[in-house]
Amino acid sequence: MRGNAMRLVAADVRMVARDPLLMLMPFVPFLAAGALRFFLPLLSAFVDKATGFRIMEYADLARVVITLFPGMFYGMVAGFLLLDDRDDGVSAYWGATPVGRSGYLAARLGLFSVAAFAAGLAVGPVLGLGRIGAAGTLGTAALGAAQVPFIALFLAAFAANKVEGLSILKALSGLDMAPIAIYLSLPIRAVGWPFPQYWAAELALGRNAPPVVALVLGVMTSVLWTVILAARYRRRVD
Amino acid sequence: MITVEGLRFTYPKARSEAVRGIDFKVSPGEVFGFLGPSGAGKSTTQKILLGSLRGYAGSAMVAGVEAARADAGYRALVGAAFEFPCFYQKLTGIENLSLFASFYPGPKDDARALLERLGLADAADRRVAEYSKGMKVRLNLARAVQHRPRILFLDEPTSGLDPANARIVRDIVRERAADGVAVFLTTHDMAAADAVCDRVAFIVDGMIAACDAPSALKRRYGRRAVVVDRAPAAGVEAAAVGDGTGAGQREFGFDGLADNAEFLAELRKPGLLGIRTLDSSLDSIFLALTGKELA
Repeated sequence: MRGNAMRLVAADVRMVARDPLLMLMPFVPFLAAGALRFFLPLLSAFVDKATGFRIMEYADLARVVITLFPGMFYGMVAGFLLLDDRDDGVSAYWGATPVGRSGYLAARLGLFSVAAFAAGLAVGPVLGLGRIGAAGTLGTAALGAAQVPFIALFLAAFAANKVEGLSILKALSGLDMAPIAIYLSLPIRAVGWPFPQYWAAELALGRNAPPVVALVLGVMTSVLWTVILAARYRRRVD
Repeated sequence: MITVEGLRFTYPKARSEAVRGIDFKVSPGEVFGFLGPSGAGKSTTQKILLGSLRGYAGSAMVAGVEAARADAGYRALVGAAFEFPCFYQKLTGIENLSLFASFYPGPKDDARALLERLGLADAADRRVAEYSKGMKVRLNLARAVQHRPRILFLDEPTSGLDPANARIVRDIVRERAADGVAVFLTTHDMAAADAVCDRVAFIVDGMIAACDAPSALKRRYGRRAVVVDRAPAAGVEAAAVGDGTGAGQREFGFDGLADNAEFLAELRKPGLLGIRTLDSSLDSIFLALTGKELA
C-alpha cells in the first residue's frame, strides 16, 4: 500500500517538475514571505505616518496568513493535476486498476497535504515577523495543509478547464484572508466560521475561542468540505 | 470467466434503462465482441463489468466475483483499454507503462519489447503529449496487456489505426486469447469484429438482439448459394455472359450443388475468376435485425 502511494507520489513529482508554472507554485509562499519580511515594516511605517494605523501590531496575524499560504498554493498544484487527469480521462482509468480511484486521489492529496504542512512550518521563519508559538504554528500548518483537498477538489469539481480554474482560484485565494474575521464583531465575524482558515487564526491567536475548540472546529470544517467536494468531484469524473 | 444474467441498469435521474435485461457468457480463451451503436449500452455494460458502476440489477460475475464487489484483487486480474486513450501527457510512453504496470502483481511483459511490436519503439521515450491518436491507441493496448491479465476489456482497440497496425493489434488480441485470456471487445467496427471475434453480440437499446459466432450469423442470415464469377469471353460484353445476377456471374443454390450439371459446366468454361458464397456481412445482419446503422 505504501509502495503504491510512493510510486504515485514519484509520478506526481516528475509531472510537476516538467511543468514550469506548477514547478514555481511550491516556492511562491516562501517568495511572498521573503518579500513581506522586507516590505511589511516599510509599509507599516509609511501607513503609520500617514494614518496612524500600525500594521505591525497585526504581525501575528500576518504570520498566521503566511503559514496558511502553502496549503493554498500546493492545493493549486494538486488541483491542476487533477484537472488535467479528469480531462484526459486518467482519473477514471485508475478505477480500473488495483489502485482504484480512491487510492489515486488519496495519494495525490496526501502528498501535497504533507508537503503543505512541512512548508507551513518552514515559511514562518522566512517571514520572521510576529509570534504564534509552537502549538499555534503546528495547528495552523495542519489546518493550512487541510486546504489542499479543499482547493484541489474544488478546482477539479467545478472548473471546466484550466482557464476557468484560474478564475476560480482568484476567488478562493480570498479565503486566506478569512483570519481577518477574528477581529470583527458578531454577527459579521460568523462569516468566517465555515472556513478552516478562520479557525486556524483562532487557534493560533486565541482571540474569541479556546485553541482546543478552534482546533476541533477547524478539523471538522476541513473534513466536511473535503467530503462534500470529494462527492462532487466523483460525480464530475463519472 | 464472465457470466452476465438478467443485467439491468438505470442511470440516476434517467427515465429509461440503459441496460435492459441482458445475458451472455465469455469463456477463457474467447474473444467476445459487443457490437452496437452509440448509446446502445455497450459502455455501461463494460463499466459494470469493470466494477465502476454499481447499483445494477441481475448478476455480472467476472472471474467468480460479482462486479459490484470488485476490489483491488479483482482489478489485478483485469486489463482495460478505454475508447479514448488516457495517459499522463507529461510522462513518456515508457514511463506511463512502467507506472501503471508497477501496481499489478506477478510477472509482466517487457514494456520495450511490447512497444517495439506495436511500432512504438522510437517513441518510447517521448512524452505522450507528442503522440498521434494512432500511437495512443497502440499504447493503450500495451498498457492493457502488459501485466498479463486474465480478462481483457478492449473498447475500439483498432480505432484510428492503419491496416498494418490494426492487424498487429488483432494478432496480439488473438495471441492473448490463445493463452486463455477472456477478451470482451466493444466496437462499432464490424470488419474488425468479424476478423478477431469468436462470438459477437449485437446490442441495441440496452438489449441483445443476437449473439453467435460471426460465421454462424453470416450463414444464418445469408443466402444459401454460391456465385461463379467468370471473365467475359473475348469480344463479348460482360452483361451478356450472366444470367441476371450481374455481369459475368451465375448464382447456384446449395441444394444439390455437387450434382448440378449447370454449375459443373460453368466451372469448366474458360475465364473462371472465382467462386464465392453469399454470406451476409455483419453490417447487413445488424441492420436487418435492428433496423439501425452502426455509425
